[in-house]
Amino acid sequence: MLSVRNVYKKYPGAENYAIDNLNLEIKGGEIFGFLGPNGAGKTTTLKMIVGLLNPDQGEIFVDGHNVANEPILAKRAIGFVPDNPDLYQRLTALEYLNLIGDVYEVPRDLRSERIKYYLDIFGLNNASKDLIQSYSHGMQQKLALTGALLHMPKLFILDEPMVGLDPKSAHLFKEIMKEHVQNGNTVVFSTHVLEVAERICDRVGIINKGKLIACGTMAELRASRGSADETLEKLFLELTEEGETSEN
Amino acid sequence: MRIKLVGSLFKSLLNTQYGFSAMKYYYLKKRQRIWEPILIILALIPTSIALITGLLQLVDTIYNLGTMLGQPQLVLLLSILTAQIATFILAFSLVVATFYFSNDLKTLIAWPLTPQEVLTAKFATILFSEYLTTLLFIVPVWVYYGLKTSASFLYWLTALLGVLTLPILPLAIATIIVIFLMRLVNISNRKDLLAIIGGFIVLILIFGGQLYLQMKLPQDPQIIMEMLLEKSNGLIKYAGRVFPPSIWLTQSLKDASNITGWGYFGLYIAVTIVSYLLLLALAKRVFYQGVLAGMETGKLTKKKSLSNYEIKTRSPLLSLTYSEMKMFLRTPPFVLNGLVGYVILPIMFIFQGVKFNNQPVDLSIITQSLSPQLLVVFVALYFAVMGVMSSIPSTAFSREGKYLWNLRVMPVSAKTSMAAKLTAAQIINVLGSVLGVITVTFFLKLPVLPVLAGMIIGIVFSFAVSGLAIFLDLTRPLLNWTNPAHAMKSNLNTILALIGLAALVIPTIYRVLGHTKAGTINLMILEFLIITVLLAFVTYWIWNRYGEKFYKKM
Repeated sequence: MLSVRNVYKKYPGAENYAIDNLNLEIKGGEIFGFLGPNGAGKTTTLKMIVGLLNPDQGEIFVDGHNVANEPILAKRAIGFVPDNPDLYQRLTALEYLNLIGDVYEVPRDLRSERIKYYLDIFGLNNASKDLIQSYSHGMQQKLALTGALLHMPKLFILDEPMVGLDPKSAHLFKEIMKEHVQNGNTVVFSTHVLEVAERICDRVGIINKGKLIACGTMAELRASRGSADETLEKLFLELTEEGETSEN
Repeated sequence: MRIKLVGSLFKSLLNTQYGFSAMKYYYLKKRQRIWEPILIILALIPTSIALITGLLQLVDTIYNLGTMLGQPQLVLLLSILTAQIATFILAFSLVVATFYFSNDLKTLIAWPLTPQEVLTAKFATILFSEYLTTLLFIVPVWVYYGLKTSASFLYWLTALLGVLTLPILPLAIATIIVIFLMRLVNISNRKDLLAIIGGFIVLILIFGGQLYLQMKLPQDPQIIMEMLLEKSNGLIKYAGRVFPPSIWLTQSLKDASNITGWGYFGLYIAVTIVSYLLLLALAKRVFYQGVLAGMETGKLTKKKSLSNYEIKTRSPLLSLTYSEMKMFLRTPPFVLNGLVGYVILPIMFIFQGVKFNNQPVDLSIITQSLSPQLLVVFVALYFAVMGVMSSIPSTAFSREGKYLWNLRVMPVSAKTSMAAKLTAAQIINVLGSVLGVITVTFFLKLPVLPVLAGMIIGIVFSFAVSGLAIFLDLTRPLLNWTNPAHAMKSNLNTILALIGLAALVIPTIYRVLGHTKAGTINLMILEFLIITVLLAFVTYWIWNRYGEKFYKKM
């Protein structure tokens, strides 16, 4: 579903690569957690996948489409929620969702059904005709999720999705991710909440200083460390600290 | 008030608004985009020289006329009045945007600052912008007067203090009006609409006031001359009735060497200070209330069920166009900046029409001097000029600001995205331009057929020109703005688009004059049609060739 091949990215003026020869293969029907310390390159990677940034080298394929050469086909397969979803403040929620429905060409009946479904479960139905600028951060987050799920994307990408969500919404959201995968789709998300990643991810990738330092199921990661009962938190700290030590 | 703190805040706000640190970073440290300041300077030097030369010629004429009438200081009064009226008009939309629609307000209100401190810092940033425009018109005039009258040191000192204080009073008055207006409109949940209507009412009042004065002035030149010669300061006093502080400043400059002049200067400064103190008092009472009321849009409406008919399906192009227009029209600073040009011409003509009705004027001279062919070209050019001057196409992507990611992740091509922005800009431009052309046609009784032909060509011509302006914005969007007015007013793309348009319009006018002289004006229409088609083709080619590339880079 997602293939990241030999990708490099350096920001103008920076000395080091933000992403340094990243390779990643994510199959259809899995939840993939992308972990890493602040500034490790998680958001940069996700932005390159959705077409918000261009890699300096390498290729990214989404559902078999090269993001650089077939951006529209690739984007059509993606639903994206950024870490801070700045939605069009001067549109109402319904206008925003209709816009999304139009550009992703979601048929009227399906669109109507899905909008009602998600607005209901997120508790936004009564505010659907209000301007987005009147929404709280959490409400905007839920609206962004609704927009991203409206076309039932094959690849659902989320950058720090739990930030700003109350416990009930966070729980609901985890259920939605699971449901989305059960329908044969793929979910990729970055997070700092290691418990969430440990509990719901089929596989996790740990990135540090632009390099993928570990990738696999929890069992594979534990096996690689030679310890059967290590928590993800411990693994994460060991791996990222090793990176620091080897740098020094 | 903590002056040091206000100074520090002012410095930061100014830096954010003009991007000084960003300029230093890109131009000096990174040595990137150095062509930008060079191009601006290259464009500004001849423009400024031409402006100042023209201004000095006008000043010379007015000075000589004033000297003949025993009122050489007439030129000073006119410069002061012009600068203060211009400041007042320019200030209005800037104050609305900076005080009420700025992204930094949430942060500033949360900081331990008093409303007066925030207001002073924001007021000073607008004052800085006003200096940039008024200095260009004031300094050459006052220097000219000083040199002509071999003025004393005290004149130069008064002039320096006068220049620095000149925009404060009209800016304070504009700010007081806005603060009152925003306090009133924010009590309603239609505040955006009311802010826009309020803005246009102020505009109408300005023109209405101007018309009132014009109607009050005697129409017979003979009577005006008699009035001027009646007293040595006749016209000065008459004009000064509009705005007395302008007389006080004029008199203080004229009599800078004696006690009368300093008396007037004291009076002028006192009124300026009082206006500012009044503003501070108002700030303490209602400024934050207005801002906070504006933020209280969280009052969600009562239960509204979602029915099937509310789900409308459109093509991506149509849907993007529709959303673009909605977002533009719902953002008061965009509307006030973008639509003001379209409204000025009809308002002026409607007021002039009222004036003409009182004092019948023979308009046939204007109509006769315009051949139908010339009319076609001028109407067509009007559409293109208005399109670019509105800055709507040249800020199409800049206006997205931090919301641009929404567009970028959508599965639409650069061409669709640009076409949606162009269609939205052109719907506004065509409606606005048609309104202006119809008003002028009605009042000047212009022949309908050439006007119609000009409108049709104008729509195609402005499509091509606006298309290029949108492409320009795609290549270098200004996305990190803090208030929506910044996206439009401080956007270099509008200036670059205007320079490009001038490069197109000026040769066209020369060709028109050439054809008129040669008696080949019919050829001009053909030539203009060819230019229009070529330009449309060039725009289409550029979009196709480079659109996707810059869209990805954006």
